[in-house]
Amino acid sequence: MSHAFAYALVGAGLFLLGLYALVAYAHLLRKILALNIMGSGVFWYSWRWPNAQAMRRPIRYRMPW
Amino acid sequence: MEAILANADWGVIVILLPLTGGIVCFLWPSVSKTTGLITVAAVVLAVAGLGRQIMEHGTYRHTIGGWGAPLGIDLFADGLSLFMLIMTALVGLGISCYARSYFNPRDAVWFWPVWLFLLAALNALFLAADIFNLYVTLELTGLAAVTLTALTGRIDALSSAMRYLLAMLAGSLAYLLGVALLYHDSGSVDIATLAQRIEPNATVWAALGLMSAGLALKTALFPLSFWLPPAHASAPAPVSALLSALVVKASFYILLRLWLELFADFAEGVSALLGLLGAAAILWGSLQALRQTRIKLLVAYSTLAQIGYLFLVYPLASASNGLAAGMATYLAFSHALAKSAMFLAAGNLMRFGGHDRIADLDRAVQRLPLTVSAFALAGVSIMGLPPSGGFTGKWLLLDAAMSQGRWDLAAVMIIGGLLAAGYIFKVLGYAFMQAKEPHDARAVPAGMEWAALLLAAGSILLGLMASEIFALIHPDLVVNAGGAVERVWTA
Repeated sequence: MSHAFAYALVGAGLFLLGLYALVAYAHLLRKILALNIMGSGVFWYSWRWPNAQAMRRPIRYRMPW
Repeated sequence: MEAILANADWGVIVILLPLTGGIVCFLWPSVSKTTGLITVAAVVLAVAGLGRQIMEHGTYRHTIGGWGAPLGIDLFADGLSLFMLIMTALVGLGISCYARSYFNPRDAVWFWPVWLFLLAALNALFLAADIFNLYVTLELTGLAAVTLTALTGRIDALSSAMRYLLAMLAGSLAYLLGVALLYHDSGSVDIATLAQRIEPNATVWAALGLMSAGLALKTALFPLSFWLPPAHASAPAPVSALLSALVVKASFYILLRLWLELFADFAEGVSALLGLLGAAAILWGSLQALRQTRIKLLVAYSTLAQIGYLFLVYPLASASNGLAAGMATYLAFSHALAKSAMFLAAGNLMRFGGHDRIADLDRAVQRLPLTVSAFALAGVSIMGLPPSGGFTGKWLLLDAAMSQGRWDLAAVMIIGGLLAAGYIFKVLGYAFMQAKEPHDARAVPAGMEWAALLLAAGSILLGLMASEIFALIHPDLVVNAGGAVERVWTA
């Protein structure tokens, strides 16, 4: 299991956990916390995922002038 | 002067005007009514300026700060975006004229700034060119809409606004996860770039499912529509009109745009599912509307049914010869005008009798003729009777369904029209009758009645302007004399 896939799995798990809690619990504070956990789950996807199309864009290390 | 007007960045003006107007209304509450009305009128003129630019150049693209995609944010408008902007500006102007006389001074202080922020967010949404900017503006729209729903502070408004907030945020987060997945797959969030790079692999399918589910929740498609009737019914009348007419169309626009640009080629199963849920929404919403005893809940369930018509575009889109955007926008625009007129008329009836029970509409047709006429005209468009905008939109859908052999969808549309006639005439019938205990009426300001009537007349006028509107959305299609749409080949 690659590095990137592990991050994606945990992120999805947090998202689904938050979604379940949003629906299952009646207390408003728990629902708000559940939304926060869903948001955190989405943030696990903010890593650089190496793929062929992203690699095609060259990264400049110096200013072009 | 002519050159300045023609070359101004109307897209930027359309977003900045309501934003500054909202700030001015917030800082100086005593002038909020005048400032609000002037700002909305100015937005209508700015949208006209943008429309003129699009007529000349085809599309409008502006790179904010000169940075350019993919690093910066682009504003982009084509026929579809322009149509949505026109809808927002015109319906917003009508509702603003109504709200001028509706709110007491305490509520008006909060209504005007938040409504102008909602207008800015909607305009920014229709001008967004990348999927992440669509998320940001969608969140802004939802937050402003929730604030407006909770405006009166009554317990039913607060609880339904809270439910709306939770559902809205869940939908936004699902959409955002889809954005993240698409970005990881293609390396870009710009819609034009994504359209070139997208391919049907597992990541894109997951993104499609998440985005469709999130946006369907925000547009209140049938099983995910639990939040809409209480929120739209317990809000003040102009806010209900804004929510039903404009806010649900925002998330629908995003789904339509993503569909047309990115997903149309490989998502047949999902479009079939959306069509099935749309058909269920038509039947369920119309049947529930027939059962209601309160007029605002009836109109809210009618919104649910009309949203079902919007989603019927998806299964018919692939074989519809490029008409999908035109059908959807025609339905959306005519529904926006008709539904806002119905909610404003319902607000007048509530102001008139002090309640909104349908059975006790005590001879409203004699004492509030303009209001009941507005309700009736709007009902004509909702039912889909000619010559209204609703008829043209539903006729296009029916035509597409029958020419593609989808008799099931055609039958659902016809049954939906019959059920709509049922609940419209239920309200109109009680408006002619005397209530069991006749009560005195409170006066309704003339501005409120005329705003409702003019919006309803607009929905009828829309049906007479089919060829002009199609020229706006699709410059290469034309409505010929027989009412059919055909493609004009420009040499």
